[in-house]
Amino acid sequence: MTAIVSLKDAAFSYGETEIFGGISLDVSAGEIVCILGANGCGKTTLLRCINSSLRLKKGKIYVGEDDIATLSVDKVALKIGFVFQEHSAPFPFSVLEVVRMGRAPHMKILATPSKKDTAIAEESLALVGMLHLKNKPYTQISGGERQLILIARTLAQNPEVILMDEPTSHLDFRNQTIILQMICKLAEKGIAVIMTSHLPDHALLYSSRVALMKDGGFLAVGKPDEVMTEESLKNIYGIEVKMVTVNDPNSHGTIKIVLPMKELTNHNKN
Amino acid sequence: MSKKKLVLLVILPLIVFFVSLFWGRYPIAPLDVFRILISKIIPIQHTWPSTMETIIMSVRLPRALLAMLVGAGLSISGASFQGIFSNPLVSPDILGVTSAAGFGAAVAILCSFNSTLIQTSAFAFGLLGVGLSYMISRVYKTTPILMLVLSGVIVASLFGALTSATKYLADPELKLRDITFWLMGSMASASWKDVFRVFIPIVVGMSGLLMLRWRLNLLSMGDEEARSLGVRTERLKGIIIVCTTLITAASVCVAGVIGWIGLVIPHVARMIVGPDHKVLLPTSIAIGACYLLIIDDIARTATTTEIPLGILTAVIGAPFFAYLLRKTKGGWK
Repeated sequence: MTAIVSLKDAAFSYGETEIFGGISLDVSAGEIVCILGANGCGKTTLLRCINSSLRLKKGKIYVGEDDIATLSVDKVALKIGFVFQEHSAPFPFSVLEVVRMGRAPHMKILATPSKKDTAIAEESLALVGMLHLKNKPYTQISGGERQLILIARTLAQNPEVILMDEPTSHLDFRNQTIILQMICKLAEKGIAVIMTSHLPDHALLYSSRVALMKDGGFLAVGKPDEVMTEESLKNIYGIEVKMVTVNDPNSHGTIKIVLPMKELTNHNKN
Repeated sequence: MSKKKLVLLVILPLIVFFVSLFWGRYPIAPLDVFRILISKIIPIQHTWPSTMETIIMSVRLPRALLAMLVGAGLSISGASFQGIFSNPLVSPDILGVTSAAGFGAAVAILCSFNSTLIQTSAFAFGLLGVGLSYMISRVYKTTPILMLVLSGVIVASLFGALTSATKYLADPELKLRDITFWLMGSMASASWKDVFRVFIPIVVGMSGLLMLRWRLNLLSMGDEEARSLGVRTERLKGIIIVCTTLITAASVCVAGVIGWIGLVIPHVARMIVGPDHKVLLPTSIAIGACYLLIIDDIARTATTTEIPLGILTAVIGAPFFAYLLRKTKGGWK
């Protein structure tokens, strides 16, 4: 399958400080690529470069046929959606209004949303199961709901690629799972998803491929089973971990989960 | 927005406008006001003294129109700025337009310029002040919100100090008094000339903002997010800053410094129609026009001498705002 997004030897630096370099990656439609790495390894910066919020210092990023550096902001928004982390709104817009904002790249600059835009927004809300909230103020819903609303907004944008920066952080166990299931649903619709995650288990359970990132470079990219080993995880997080294989209650196969080792948490005991 | 609210927002300014024409120290019956206005369109028999006509046509009408223009302009500017700064505490003078225009006027008064030159100087300095703020805040081809706010603080305090210096130099018997009065805001000398002068910048600015009003929703979510939704944030912010600056500089140059409206009216509008800028901006125009017109009516009729507008907008606006704040417990945000 041809790649929707491809990064060719991408590098970025703030002034003299290189944030990442030598990054190459191809992502196809329907794939979920999860970027794992310690805080500050450059994951978010990488996403912002793919979104063309930040310009690469070296290398290229292609979306379909186009070099992203040559696309204007509105053209990029037609192809790439971004779900932001820790989101809040300054004004209590209704949920529907927030989702309708996703239609912006499809609208003329002086236009206001049409009936069709509203219909698309409602459709997207229905898809994430949040249509009942459409008239609620966005500032008065829970974190999990907000994340789903943002996904709905990105769906209304109708992009080929969705970037997500730690979509499950700050969410409780149930909401983390709901969001991840939703991400799988997006991939089934043929959208390429590139997300960062703070939890290796999420990558093991839900992603089609994993990129392990350390010090601004990819250590390995591949199927979660293949690249996520005790060794490689120890390398990127700097802690001892154990991979445990358990029976998958959903199928007859097995799944792996990652456990941090107790000894390393000893210094926290008191 | 419900039909009822819509009708009210169109009719209310018209009623206030009409009341302002017959309300005053020189009593004129509503019917006479109506006749005088009609006589300008279709020739009817003059049954009223010519003083009455002069008062309506040369004093109250331009003054009322000016008050509405300025009130509407300051309110829509405030609502727009609150949108682009993603902050409901912002007022139109956040980039220093008022202080700079105030200094422009003060210097012109000090130099004994005529009223046209005073207005021109105020307008020009207003634009200059905002231009300065914008330039200071620009880093890496972007203008981050925090940089804009801080640059505005710098420019405002600089021109504030320069205005103080001008006052210090001014002759306390005449010019200091003029400068002080000018800075407190007034419509007392409003004429058709003023209306025509500010009509174009205010209407151009308002039209620009109205056309872009839905995009303000996007911008209020923050620059990065707006960009991810396809908004060319720098260009859009630039256009909005130009529009609001035209409006505020024009307002300040004819009416002096009138604070408070640009901060409070958008809040009141938001309480009535919600935060969506698509309806918030037109609503701010309607309420702002009514509010300043009512304030100006009080300014010219409450006592035998004119009360400066800047005092009234705050004296009436502050308790009103406090009441709303208590009643809604800040719930409208």
